[in-house]
Amino acid sequence: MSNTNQYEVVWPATPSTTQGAKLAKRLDTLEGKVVAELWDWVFKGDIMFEAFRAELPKRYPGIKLISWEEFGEIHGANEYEVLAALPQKFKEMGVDAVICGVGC
Amino acid sequence: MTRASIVVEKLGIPTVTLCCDGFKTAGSFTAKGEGYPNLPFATHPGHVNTTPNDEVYKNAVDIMLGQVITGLTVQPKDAKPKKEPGIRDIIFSGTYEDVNDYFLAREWSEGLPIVPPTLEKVDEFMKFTDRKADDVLGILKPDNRQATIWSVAVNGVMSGCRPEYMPILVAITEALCDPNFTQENLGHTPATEVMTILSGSLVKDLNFNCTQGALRPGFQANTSIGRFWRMYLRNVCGYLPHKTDKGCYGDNFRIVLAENDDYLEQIGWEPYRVDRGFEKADNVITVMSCTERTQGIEVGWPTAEGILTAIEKRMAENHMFIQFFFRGQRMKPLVILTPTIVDSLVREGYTKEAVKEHFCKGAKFRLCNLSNRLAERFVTGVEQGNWPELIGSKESYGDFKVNADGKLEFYDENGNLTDMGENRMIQMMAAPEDFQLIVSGDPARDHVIIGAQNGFIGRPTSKKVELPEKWEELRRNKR
Repeated sequence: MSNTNQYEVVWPATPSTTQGAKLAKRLDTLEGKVVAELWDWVFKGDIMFEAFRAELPKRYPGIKLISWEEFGEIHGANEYEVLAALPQKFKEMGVDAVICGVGC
Repeated sequence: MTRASIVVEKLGIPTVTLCCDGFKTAGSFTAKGEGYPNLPFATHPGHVNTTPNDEVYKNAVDIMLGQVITGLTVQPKDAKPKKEPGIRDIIFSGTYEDVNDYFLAREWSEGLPIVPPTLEKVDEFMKFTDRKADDVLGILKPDNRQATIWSVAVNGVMSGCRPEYMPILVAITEALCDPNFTQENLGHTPATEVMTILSGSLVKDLNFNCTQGALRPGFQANTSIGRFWRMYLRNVCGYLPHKTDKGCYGDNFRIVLAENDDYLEQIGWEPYRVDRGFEKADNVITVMSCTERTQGIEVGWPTAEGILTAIEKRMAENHMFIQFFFRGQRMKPLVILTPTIVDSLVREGYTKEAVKEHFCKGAKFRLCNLSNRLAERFVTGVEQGNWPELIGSKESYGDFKVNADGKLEFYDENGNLTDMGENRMIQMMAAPEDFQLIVSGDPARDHVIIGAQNGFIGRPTSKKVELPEKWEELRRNKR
């Protein structure tokens, strides 16, 4: 109830639909694992992935990195389609982990 | 990037997200909205655009690699669910000043005083819709909250709207929720602000200003509904500066642009709502990204050709987000013409379609005006074969590159520098119908506004305004 001096007000937001989410289980090691690269094709991700491709196998023998070129541009006009195609591609490629960039 | 990582996490596959260090907070808040506040990141120090490429490589090895390994192999904590209020719950009680302080402290207002959203006020707005309070129009990012009819009314009250604006507020929110609009991108760094356009008889019925000072605060309908847009982005989408809204500078909310129907009727041009595929009898709201706005002063000239070419030169100065064109996308820029300008065009027999046709052919960009990242994106676009008939192809340019200072250089077959694009022009638009042409503003003046549209971010999205069954009766009671 409101009078001239007091206002009882309601919440301007609405219920969240994402409560209680759980992150995927992390890997024990990257040795022998398949790691996919996802990129938005801007902000020098190609240089970063080149560095990871050179360095990770030195530390984790048998690791396999799948190039961002296999997946398409993840942030752009075709974002919905590119993301929708990922489950099937990951399944076929046996992907264990993903490096995703670049936010700038 | 965060959104893509979340998609992958939901598949049960661990991710690590790469970003510049100044973007980790925004990424973490976006992840929080998705229910994953502890999503791991690997960060580059400073912005990559100002870092030489060999240093980016070194940073990736020396700094980011360890974070990548940790992100993929060390399990972060899961988030705990939080209890949230129901729609009619009273969350606070106090004086006008207390309420404003309370809302400001929780980032539920942008700093201007709000109208306290009491149940009585919100119920008054609810009378102006036949929809139920808990009807959900969509789920909005980054916070993944429900766009309910009730929340539209609450934020309308807070923004200083009148209850009879409610059907327009609902239509705006429906447009916001439409996947075509891609509202999930509105927190990006260019700080996309949106133009809301009203076309139809409600312009007159609800006293919108569509003439002199059309985009100036001072008219309750135009101003308060414009404020509602940003208020709703804040409170329901969850776009907050320093958190999920990563706009580099940002901008003020836009005053609603109302179309001058009387003038269009007079000259026989169809209104914008018909261009958008609706009936002339409809009232239609359109939202579209409109980030960089250029006012072309005094484009008036005794000939139509003189006017149109003057406007096209201003289009080149605006850039019209040409980097998205280089990426193979279509932009849909806004062009606002005053009745004075249109009179001069109509006098020489120009239809709206012919004007758009002229704009499409005449909007050209001189390549020497590209620099740095824009120049690089042009080169990449040509290499990828985007719009070869409009921006040129690798074959047509031969050897060309961006030099160390970020300028384009073109070479002949002997490797000699020929030019830096001084006389090389490219087209800026893919199709005449991509122009969003509105007649509004001062009928006595010859200025024009060009508003860049950000390609796939905030495509023009239109919704019919649905009036409640008892609209006339409700309106009578309000008068």
